This record gives sequence, C-alpha cells and structure tokens, in this order.
Amino acid sequence: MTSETAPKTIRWWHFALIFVMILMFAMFAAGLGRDTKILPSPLIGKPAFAFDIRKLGTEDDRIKLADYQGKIVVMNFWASWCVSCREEHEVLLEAAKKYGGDGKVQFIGINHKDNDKAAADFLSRMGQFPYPSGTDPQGRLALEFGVYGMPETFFITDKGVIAGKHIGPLTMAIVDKKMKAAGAAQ
Amino acid sequence: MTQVTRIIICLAFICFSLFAGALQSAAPVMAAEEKAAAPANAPVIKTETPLQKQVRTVSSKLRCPVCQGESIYDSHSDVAVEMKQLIAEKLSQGESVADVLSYFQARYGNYILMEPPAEGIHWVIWVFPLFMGLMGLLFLMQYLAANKETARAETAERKPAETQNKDSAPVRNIEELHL
Repeated sequence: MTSETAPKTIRWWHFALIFVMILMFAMFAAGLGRDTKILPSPLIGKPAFAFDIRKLGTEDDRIKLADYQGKIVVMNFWASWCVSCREEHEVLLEAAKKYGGDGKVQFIGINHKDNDKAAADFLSRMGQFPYPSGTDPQGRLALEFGVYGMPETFFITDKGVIAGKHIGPLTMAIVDKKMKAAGAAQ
Repeated sequence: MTQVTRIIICLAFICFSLFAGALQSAAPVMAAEEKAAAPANAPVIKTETPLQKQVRTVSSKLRCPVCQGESIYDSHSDVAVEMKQLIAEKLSQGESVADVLSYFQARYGNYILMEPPAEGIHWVIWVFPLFMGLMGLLFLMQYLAANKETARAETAERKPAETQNKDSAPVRNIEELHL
C-alpha cells in the first residue's frame, strides 16, 4: 500500500497547530487594528503624586497638589515650543470656563521644559489661562507622571485618584468624557 | 500535499521559531556586542565607573517613550537624556537596578521595558517560538516516518516482481540457447 492510498489520520497536534495559527492571526489582527497612540497607563486608579513646584512667572510662589484637596483637578502639561499645545489652547480655555466656575474643579497647567519668557509670550499671543501654571524645567514631574510627550492631560478625582489621562491635543468631547469619569457634573 | 510542500512547511516552522527566538534575544545580544566592542572602539568606556555601568544596564532595558524601538541608552532625545540622569541619581542614592526599573514600570507600564516580562499574556511571546519549533520537529518526524514507510512498502512490492523476473530470465536465456 502506498502513501497515496493510506487513510489520513488527524492527530492531536494538527488541532493544536490550527488553534495556534488562529490565535496568532487574531493577535496580529487585534494589534494591527489598535491605535498606537493609545497606551494604557498603569497610573489610572492610583493616587496622584504629590508635587510642590514654582508658579510660572513668579520668583518663588508655589503650586502644590495638596492645596487642591477635595477638588477635581485637571492637570495639563504644556510648553510654548509644542505645536499641538496651540491646537488645544482654545479647548482648554473653553473647558476651564465650563468646569472651573463652580469652584469644584481646579485646572492647573504644568509648563514643561520651557522658560518663563517664552511661556509668557505664548500665553499673551494665544490667550491667558484663567488658572495658574507651575514650572517643570527639567521635566522631572513629567517623568513622575509617566508623560510621553506634550501635550498630556491628567484628570484627578476629588479623592486625589487619577481617573484618566489623555495623550495629545484635547477636544471638548474628550474633556467631557474624562471629566465625567473624574466625577464632575456635566 | 507534495514532498516539496511538506519540506517547505517544516523549514518555515523551524525558521520562524529561530527568527522569533532571535528577535527576543536581540536586545541583550546587541547590548553584549556593544559591551564587547566598546573597549576597542571607544576608550571612554574603559574608564566607565561602576555607576555608569549600572546606568548603562538599566537604560539598555528601558524603551525610549518618544522613539521607535530604541532603548533610552541608544537614544539622544531630551526625554531619554533626562531619564538617564534620573536613573543615575536614583542609583547613586542607593536604589537597586530592580527598584529603578520598577519605578519606570509603575509609571509607564510594561511598554517601557525593552523585554516584556515573562508573566501573564506575555508568556505567549516566550513560549510561542518554542511551540512552533516543536511543531516543526513533529511535522518533520512524521514526514520522515511516512517517507520511510512508503519506501519500505515500495521495496516490498518491487521484490516479488524482481524475483519473478530473475526466475524467468534464465529460463528465457536457456530457451534462447536451445534455439
């Protein structure tokens, strides 16, 4: 009897191989369909890191996260040299107007690896934030918060827990969604 | 399935497993190569202090957050430089290599590690090449066994015919001689 006429036997590993192939293709498909800009942050659900930084445009006034205990905090990392920050500037002004009025939400800017003069020029050109900004000249606070690049925004609940973060320029739809997650009234 | 197809499948399995294995170990191998090549090419490395050596070890294991597939050791981006400075500070303050790695892992997640940790879903990445290699071997063994069986069957089929030919040939010759 030749191999052509021999009955074909299906072995256990044929199934295993097919299963693994399907799994592999499923993983590839899932991976290829994913937005590479969205990276899961391990900080979501964790307490925000306390910080005490110099206030932008002052000699030694301080901005401390602890000062805003009991408030929802929106912490936005920005820089005058960041192109995308210009894109989201209007959104931040609108969001601060929408949420910052009742005193339950505090917006804070973190001016990242910048200098006071360049930052002041940027704000006078684009419009002053109706909230304070702190300085992070070396980018250490950014590393502490696992920041990838400018701009990046963190949404912290009134209990001091990081409820969400957004990498890249904000839109009002994103702000509304993240603010809801942080427990703000819409 | 033709023999050629079977051989190609076997080779594909084995090559894939070797390639995947090579990819996994690429980072440490490259680091080792740099380590080996560095003293000859770069005299600066000869004067490397234990702290600098530790910084190099840690920074080779961390991915640059703003680069594509590059460790912070290899990157000259602002964030990579800042991260290297922070690593040096933390190590000089007495923190261990594991402490520094977990500091960044806690803030950036597993993405920041050049080699994914062998835990949870990441086990798939480590086990998959081995599994594919094993599958290739099994396939090859089955193919060789089937080939051997076919050859044996063909030999067994040929033998009686040949014997018959051998038996009849002399007779024919004798008959021819008689003629």
